[in-house]
Amino acid sequence: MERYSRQIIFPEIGEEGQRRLSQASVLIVGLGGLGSPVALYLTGAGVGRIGLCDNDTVSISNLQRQILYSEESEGQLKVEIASKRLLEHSSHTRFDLWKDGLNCDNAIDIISGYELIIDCTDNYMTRYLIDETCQELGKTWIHGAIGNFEGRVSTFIPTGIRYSDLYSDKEYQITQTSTGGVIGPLPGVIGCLQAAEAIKLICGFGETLVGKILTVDLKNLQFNVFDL
Amino acid sequence: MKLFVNQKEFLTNSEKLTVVGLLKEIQSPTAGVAVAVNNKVVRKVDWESTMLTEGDQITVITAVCGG
Repeated sequence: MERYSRQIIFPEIGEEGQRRLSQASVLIVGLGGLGSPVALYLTGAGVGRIGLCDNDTVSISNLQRQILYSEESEGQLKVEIASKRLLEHSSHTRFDLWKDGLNCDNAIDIISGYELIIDCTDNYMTRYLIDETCQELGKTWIHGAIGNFEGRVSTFIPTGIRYSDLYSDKEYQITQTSTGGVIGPLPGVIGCLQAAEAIKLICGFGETLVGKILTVDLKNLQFNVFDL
Repeated sequence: MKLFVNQKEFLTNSEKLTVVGLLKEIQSPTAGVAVAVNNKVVRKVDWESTMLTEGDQITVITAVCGG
């Protein structure tokens, strides 16, 4: 337990919180700029089982922000490199590798195996799929997304407002792609906020983003929270 | 009427303005955005019926999809 002593020291976490973390199962959908810090910090925190879900391979242009990977990783499956890197970090966490990514055919099977889902994907189609599947299965999910210098974080629970209520133009949205620029620290900031949100939800303390959305503008250094 | 749109002062000649009317006036896209009035998101189905009043703070939250 010495490994986790710096977080167990908090009365909000304590040994009970650490036990909850070690028994928790978290699915990370997308192992890019957001998924990298989420996976690293949740492994560091001692989450017991983490699902790594992505069908992509590492390319050189990923390295500017996707901190799980190195030059040697180029061309290899992200889930394989990520699990290797994370296992070096900790033997306390078990990793499930989902090499096909999340799609309509496997979403129910994959998501049903986890108590908390973290959206680190890079497209609207997968976000709406997470929204629908989590609603159907009664799962809580933590939304994170980035674009230009901005990011969004929110936690959706089965009984609350849905992502598809917030952005109701699904048919329009799924035709849009993320092609803009990004500075590396942006997914770092947003991913770390998602990881902190996950730890708080699992341990059950603090102010969370359930029923709220946090918007971050790194260029103008604006952080705002809105009620949903 | 004086409003604050994305934290900037915005003066409009309209005395009666809905969320939809404001988006039109500021030439904002209406797809792929959420709108908050005084820090509370207004659902799109309520945009037509939500009247803005003097001093309201409106934020247009554009959806982003990168990861």
